[in-house]
Amino acid sequence: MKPYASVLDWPILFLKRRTHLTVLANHRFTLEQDKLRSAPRTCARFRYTTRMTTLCIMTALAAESRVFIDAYKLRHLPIRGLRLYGSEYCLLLQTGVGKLKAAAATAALLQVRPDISCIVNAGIAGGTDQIGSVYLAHRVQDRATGMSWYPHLPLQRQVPDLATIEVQTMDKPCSTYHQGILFDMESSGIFSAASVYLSTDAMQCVKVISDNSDQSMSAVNSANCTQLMNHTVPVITQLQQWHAAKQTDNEFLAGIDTAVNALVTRVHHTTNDTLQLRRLLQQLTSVTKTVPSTVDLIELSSAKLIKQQLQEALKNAPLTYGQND
Amino acid sequence: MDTLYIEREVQTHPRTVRICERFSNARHIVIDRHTDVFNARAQNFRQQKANPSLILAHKAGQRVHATPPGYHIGGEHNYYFSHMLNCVYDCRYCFLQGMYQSANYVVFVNSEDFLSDITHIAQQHDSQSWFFSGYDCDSLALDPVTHFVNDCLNHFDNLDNAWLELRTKSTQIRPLLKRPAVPNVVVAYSLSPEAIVADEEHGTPSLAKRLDALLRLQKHGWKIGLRFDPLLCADNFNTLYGDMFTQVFQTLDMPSIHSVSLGVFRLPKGFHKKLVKLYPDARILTAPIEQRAGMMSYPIETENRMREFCLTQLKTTIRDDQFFPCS
Ligand code: SF4
Repeated sequence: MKPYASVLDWPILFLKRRTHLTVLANHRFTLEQDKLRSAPRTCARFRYTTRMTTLCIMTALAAESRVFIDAYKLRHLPIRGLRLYGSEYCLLLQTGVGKLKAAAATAALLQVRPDISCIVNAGIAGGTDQIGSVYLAHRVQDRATGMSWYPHLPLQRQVPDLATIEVQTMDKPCSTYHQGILFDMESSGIFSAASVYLSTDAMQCVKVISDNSDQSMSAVNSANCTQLMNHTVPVITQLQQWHAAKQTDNEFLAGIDTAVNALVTRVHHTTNDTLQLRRLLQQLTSVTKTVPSTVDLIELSSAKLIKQQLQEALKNAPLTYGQND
Repeated sequence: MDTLYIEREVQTHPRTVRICERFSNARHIVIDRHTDVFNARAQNFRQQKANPSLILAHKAGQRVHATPPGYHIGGEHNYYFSHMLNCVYDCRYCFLQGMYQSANYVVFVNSEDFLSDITHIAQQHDSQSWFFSGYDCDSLALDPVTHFVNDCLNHFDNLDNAWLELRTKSTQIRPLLKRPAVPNVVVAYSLSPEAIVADEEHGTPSLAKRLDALLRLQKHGWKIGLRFDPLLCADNFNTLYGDMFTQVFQTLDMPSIHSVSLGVFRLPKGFHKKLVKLYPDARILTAPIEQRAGMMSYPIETENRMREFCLTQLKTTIRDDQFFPCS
């Protein structure tokens, strides 16, 4: 018997796309990474059942989104209630103005797209520096509640010449500017919702100054907003590269996921069985350096038998240092 | 260091100023309390370990704590203190990974407060007190930045009824070699077989380098301690540890070693769980392990076998009064 979905099954999957997508989503089914990579369209369709990393840019306004839609060739993705754009490796969520809308949209998206491994809030903000200056937030604070988030920052060489600053999220637009602080209206909402799903190294905030004491907010229009946002595109690209480079354990975990899913779709496993199966496969893989073949295991009739076989294999696997490294 | 977080309270402290000057090209971010950054939720220890930041802070409240039972080398009153949280090394078995949310380093710049607390505690006892450094960090590894060790040694040089243990894997021994040995200070090295150092103690000096540092310290007159902790389970355990003991016995003057201790790998249950989540691919977590009294450790027979082998080896060269098992 062969695993449930190999590359040979794709035509069948396409024929029964709806049913299978549901099944795939429910079981967090994974297809082989190299096969997916060589088929970009299929990859895009199945990527949210895989461990490939996706960065999501979060903006508030259409004028802020436009540059990214053009730069990353994003297309509108129909998800009810969300203004979402996407390509193979990047998503853009336009949340609407204000921290509540931003939080609600962020939470809704991260709930349905577990493949999102990093978010970057990009947008305009008020500050004391020159219009068009771009900053990375080292602290995001909600002015109303006092709650703060400290994103884990990339190394300076990964984002050259980019200064960091504190971003404060206000409930209403603000025209009193303070040295060393930028004002916006969404970032704390986004960080508050995203921190339920992501860690601080996977949440960043990039702001471009749109108004200061010399040029008020009223001078900002759709055209010059888009123009200002152009300055942030290189930074987003650098953050994307940094994020992709630090995903070290994905290959290991993706291999395990494939094996787990191959087994649980054929042999009934409770949630606890699945957890134990995953851990045993992880342990065996780290000792033997290869993901165990599922071909024989699939023939076994119960989760218990599979578990016993894997435990036996783990017991017999050599745990030595300095010999088989 | 690429990013420094500096507590507002210690911004003008001389040590802060010196460290900031040393890392003048780093980002300097002023914060209210170190706990805002260090204890924040939703941090990923593994990701942060790749580029940890340095947090300069003031340690308020209790600075010196009683050690857990079993953590001693013969002394009656035992305390530990941590002038720093987290470690520059990345040992896969390290309990700090389970204990802290963050892999950033916290350095408490008010070391004078630590030292006065130590004096105060030592004065409360008639008999000798022991103070252990290197419980939540490596005592020497970041000393070129903190310069803590020299102040600490000057302090203990003038303390009659107190002993200090500096626990380390580092070969940054210049401050120790630059001065005469302090009689009430023990420099204790954690030692593991070379293959385990390479596979599980990422970023640490090799066994050979540690032994070289130990030899130089011993020749300089420092009291030295050997800590074979944690012993890790392996199919080739006897060969690995047997070879290591041979190397140690051939390099050092064993009769003059101050103390030797050994302990088998164990972790509190919660820490172990976190470790599995952080490093599902860690080889150290593939050995059979079971829960006993809230701790995850090897099956008792395995533990006894490992301990007995090491004891037999050690007893060929050390006296009973030099040996202290770890519980
Ligand atoms: S040297 Fe000690 S404190 Fe540092 S990582 Fe290793 S076990 Fe942890």
